Amino acid sequence: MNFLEANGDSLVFLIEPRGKALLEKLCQQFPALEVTHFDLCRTMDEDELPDGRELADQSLTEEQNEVRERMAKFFTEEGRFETMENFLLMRMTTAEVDLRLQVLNDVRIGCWVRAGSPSEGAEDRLRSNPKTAPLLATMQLCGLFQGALLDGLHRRKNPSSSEDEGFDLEDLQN
Amino acid sequence: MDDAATPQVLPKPDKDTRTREQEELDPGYVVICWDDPVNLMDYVTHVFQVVFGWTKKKAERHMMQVHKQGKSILVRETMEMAEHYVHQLHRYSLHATMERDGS
Repeated sequence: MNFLEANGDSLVFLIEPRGKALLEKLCQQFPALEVTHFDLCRTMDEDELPDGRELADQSLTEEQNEVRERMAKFFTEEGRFETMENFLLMRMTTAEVDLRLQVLNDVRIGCWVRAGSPSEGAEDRLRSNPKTAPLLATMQLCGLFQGALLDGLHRRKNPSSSEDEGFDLEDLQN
Repeated sequence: MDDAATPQVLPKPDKDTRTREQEELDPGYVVICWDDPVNLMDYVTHVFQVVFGWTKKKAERHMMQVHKQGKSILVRETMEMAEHYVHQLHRYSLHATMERDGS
């Protein structure tokens, strides 16, 4: 998948049909991380913590369900994909790119956790183990798509220079 | 009897409640992002830009601090805002926590 062009808030990526199928398959694995995976703090006592952790987790679960539904619709929406010779043009807003980055990162981190949270440089060991090899492959694929999406956001903002003044928060929050 | 003429005595808030309210307004909490060997550097920079509205330069400086020193203090905030930021960072699957400043 490669960034092609940006038109205002819309980004266009060039993707092969099998790339689209792969991206869809990866997104279907969301959510891969438990909502309780991350602790709110490391050093504070239980009674010092803000109230409502359970409520926050519940709200995150509901949000994940909504994201999953939106992900499923994304691949079948009219006008989302346009055939161009052997490729597809995939159109996304900056907010949709951001959401997809979140989804792919969730899957990537989820695989890393399932592989035993290995330290850096453990690729060879993971690749040679039949249980962890598919997890490593999924992580790498997510990373490739994430790289292409980040490249698209960067090049939209800086079509001809490497100078970057930051993203428009409004674009991503709308 | 006329209620309006009767002086009303409100119950005093108990000490725990007052302490909690004061803590919630005190910018004595820090949001820390911890290093992990799995998140992409460009992705972490992107998340800092989106969540805090930082320039790429500032976001990269904190990202590099996480990468090289194992952690970076991102902001000092009230309890409520620190919690908000930590939840935002968790939404992007970054390992972040809130701690008391100086702990």
